[in-house]
Parts: sequence; structure tokens; C-alpha cells
Amino acid sequence: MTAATPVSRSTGASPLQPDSGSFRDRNNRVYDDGNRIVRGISTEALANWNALSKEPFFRGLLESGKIIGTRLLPADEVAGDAAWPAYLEHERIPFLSYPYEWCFDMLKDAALLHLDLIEKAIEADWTMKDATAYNIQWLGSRPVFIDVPSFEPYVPGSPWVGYRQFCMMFLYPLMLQAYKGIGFQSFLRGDLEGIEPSIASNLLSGRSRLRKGVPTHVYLHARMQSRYSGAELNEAKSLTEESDGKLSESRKFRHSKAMVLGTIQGLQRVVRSLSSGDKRTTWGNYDTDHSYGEASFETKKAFVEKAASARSRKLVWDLGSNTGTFSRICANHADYVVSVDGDTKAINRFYEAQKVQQQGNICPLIMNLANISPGQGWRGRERKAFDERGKPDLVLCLALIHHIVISANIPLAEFLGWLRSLDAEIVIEFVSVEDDMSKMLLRNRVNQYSDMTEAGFESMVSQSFDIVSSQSLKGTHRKLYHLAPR
Amino acid sequence: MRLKVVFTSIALLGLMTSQSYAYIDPGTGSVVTTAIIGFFAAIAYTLRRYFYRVKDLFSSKKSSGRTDAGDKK
Repeated sequence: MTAATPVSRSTGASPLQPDSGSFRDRNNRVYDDGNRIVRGISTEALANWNALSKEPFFRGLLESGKIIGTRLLPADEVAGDAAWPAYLEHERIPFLSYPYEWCFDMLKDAALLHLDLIEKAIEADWTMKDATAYNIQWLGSRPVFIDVPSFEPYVPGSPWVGYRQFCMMFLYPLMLQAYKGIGFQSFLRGDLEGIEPSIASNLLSGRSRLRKGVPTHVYLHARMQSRYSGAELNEAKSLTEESDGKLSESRKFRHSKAMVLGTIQGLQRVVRSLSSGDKRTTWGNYDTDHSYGEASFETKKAFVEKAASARSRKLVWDLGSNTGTFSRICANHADYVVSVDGDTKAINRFYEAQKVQQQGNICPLIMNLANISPGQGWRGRERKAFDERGKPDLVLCLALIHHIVISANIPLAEFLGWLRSLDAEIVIEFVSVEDDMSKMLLRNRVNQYSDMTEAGFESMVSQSFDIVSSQSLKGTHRKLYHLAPR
Repeated sequence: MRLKVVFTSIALLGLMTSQSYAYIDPGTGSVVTTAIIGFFAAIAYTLRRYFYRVKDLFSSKKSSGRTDAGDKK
């Protein structure tokens, strides 16, 4: 079979479509029929699952929710022409997200989760094939490991093969923020493999080189990599016809379990010690420092509450969520809320607050809405674009439009056109050019935003939406609209 | 004496070779790095284990003493 072949099942559901981001490990592949998430597994992966599912450490991780809910599908739930020897079914993640959309503390918690899993696995004579951050997803503000076939029996003497990947995808990005104050998101979005040891070594220069974990996991690592890749390059140059296909043996070092566990526990101490260095942020204190009077703010909350509670929704997007006041209102009436903001500190605070409040259906993400995450990786499909991971039923755009139209210079018609393409109800706050915040944004630029008037906005909106309700915010040049796609 | 055996075996293990293959290339430089870091980490790991074992020995004696006292009541 080819791994990309759609698989039919006896349940009468539509054929399982292979997930475009699941193909690197040839032992399994994830499929989606729009209803269930199913993973085809090889004979070897099935043998691993049969042993793994009986392991107390693994059962404990499943029960604690650190690993995604998984069960082996009975043979009668899979059609006779099934392409894989067996299938697992996983609990569905309501909305996928990627490490370049996470805040510092999300990546840190994901790193600690991965280290916890590999530590428990090694102690129980199991290991993990890789250490990619893409194997961790979020159920609200709780990280969960999704790649069950990554677990395989530990071969005595073998190293932790995911060490380099862990450094590149978790440790270096975290160190960059903690030690240099440089956000990691653009690095991880730019290179899906993470930050190379040599690049990390150059970035973490000067006094940072003395910080915890840097001399060993960064500097030594980069030196060793440079030394051995240099040797490999020399060998490649010497590969002539006369060499008769003879390659030098790859270097193998026997690693005792104490060596592997000692390294993992050392990394746990390094990661725990890292902090984002968050101070005040322009919008991070929005909940208390917002530019509205109390009455207007209460009016705004009541308007959102009314629109959100009109009916139960599966997925709500809160675009420009800040620290999440309105996301929390929606979360009471929806299955899942994805909250997006370009302010990394605001999202970090939102995430930290969510961890305490344990409102488990809000996932805060970092994204510049004028440049949303595109399709990336192999054929531009391996990591999905933000607006291709599930359509929302309701979208909030509160105190956002002036940042899109004025700050980012996206034409109003373009922005409304994108919102219409989502085919969702919209709650949008119109902010005219007369508004103080708009004036501030316009202070150093030509006013080319003649369409940013209430009448101009309503005329443009009416072309593709019905205005369900609207509400002016007294004492401001702002107005709230609840829109339904026409 | 037992500690000496542990240290010697750690040192010897580091010099021995082992075959392992993965679908991702762990990278020769990275494997050598983990061997170096792992060597020192293993010593610290082993010492920690012994420390906690000794600590547990004393604390369990204390706690068992408390249990005995409780039983007598």
C-alpha cells in the first residue's frame, strides 16, 4: 500500500483521509474522517502497543491525561481492505496549534511534559523515538502528548536519540527568551526543525554563555556537532569511485541508563529554572488598564454575553483576545475557544491565569493577525494554515479593527472579506478614526482611511452580512455589531 | 566499595560501543555530547540515588519508630 491511500471502514463513515502532517515515521499514519481520529499502525507498532498498553507507567500517564486518550480499534470497526495491520483511535484535539504560536510558558510546560514522559519511559525500560514539539498539543491550557507510537522498547546501551531534537525545539528557544529576551516564535516559524546548535551558540553569546545549561547543552553541543559534521564533510569529499562504497562506521557510544536519566533530570532542572522575564506590557494589563469607562466596559461585556449565549457553539475564535476577558465569557457557552493575540506577554499572562482557573476549554495562542500562520512544511501542507484547522462558529474582533486597518494597513474591505470567508457569525467592535486610540495610531501617518466611518463600515458590512444587533458605546467613537453571514 | 564498582562501570560503559538506529538521525556530534554530559550526569544521578537511599533509611527508621509508638498506644 501507499501510506497516503484513503482507507474505508465498515462504520459507513466517509473514507479516512490521511493527515498531511503525519508521515515521517513509516510505522504509522494518522487519518481523519471528520468525525474520528484514527491511526494506522504497522505490525511492529502493534506489538509495541500491545506491550505498552499493559505498562503501569503508560497507564498512569494515560489516566492523568498527559497522553491523549487512545484505544485499539476492534477489527470489526475497520473494513476488510484496511491498509494497516491495526488501528488506534485517539481523542480528537479540538483545534491544532504549533510551537510558533505558543507563549513562553506553554513551550516550557510542553518541554517539561516531554521530559517527564521520557524519564518515566526510560525508568520502565521504554524510550521515545523522537522529541519533536509537534507531538504535543493542547486541550485548553493543558499540554497533551499525541504521538503514542513514539514509544518503543529501550535497547540497553542506546542513547536518548531525541536529545538534539529536544534541544532544537524546546531548550534553545526557551533559553533565547529567558537569557536574551528574544522571542522564539519567529525562529520556530522560520525553521520547523527548530534552532540549530550552531545558531543557538552564536545567539547565546557573551555573558549568556555562562548561564545555566549553556556551556554544555549549547556550546559543547555546537562544538561537537561542528567537529563531527566537518569529519563527515571530509569523508564525503573522499568518496570517489575507488573508495568502492566503503563508508566509515558510525560512531556508537554505549550509554548507561544512569547516563540517560542523569541527562534528562539535568535538563529538567535547567528548563524549570528558565523564566520569561515578563514585566508590564502595553496590553497585558488590559483587564484593569483598558481605555473604556466602567459603564462602556460593562455594556461591551453584556453585548458579548448576549451574542455568545444565543446558542451553543462548537468553536469560537477571539481575535485580539488580549488577556481573555471576552474569551472567558464565550467559554461558558461554547465547546472550545481559541484566543489569539499578537502580544506575547498578554498571551503568556492569559495562559498562566488559565492554568490557575482551570477553565479547560480556552487555548490562548500568539499570532500577528495581519500575518496569520500559513501552511508550512512539505508541500505547504505539513503544518496547516491557521484558518484551515477548523471553521469557527463565532468570531470576536473586539478593539481590533483599527490595528488591522490603520497599523497594518490592511484595507477594511479585505479584512471584512476574510471574515466573511470564515462563514461564521461575527461580533465586531467598530472603531472610527475619531477614536482616541485611532488618533494615536494616525499621529505619524497620512489619514488614508476615509472608509473608517460608521456609515462607511455599515455599508460595507451590509454587502455580505446581516446586522443582527448593534450597540453604541457611550462616550466613545466605537460601536459593537453582531453580524450573521448572508 | 559498591560506589567504586558503580563509578568504574559507568566509566567503562562510556567507552563501550552500542548499536542503535532511529528514524531521525540523532547526529554524531549530539550523541558524543550526550556521552560527555551523560558521564558526569550519571555520577550525579548515582550519588543522588545513594543520598536518597541513605536518607530514606534514616527517615524510615524514624517513621517506623513513630509507627511502633502508635501501635503501642
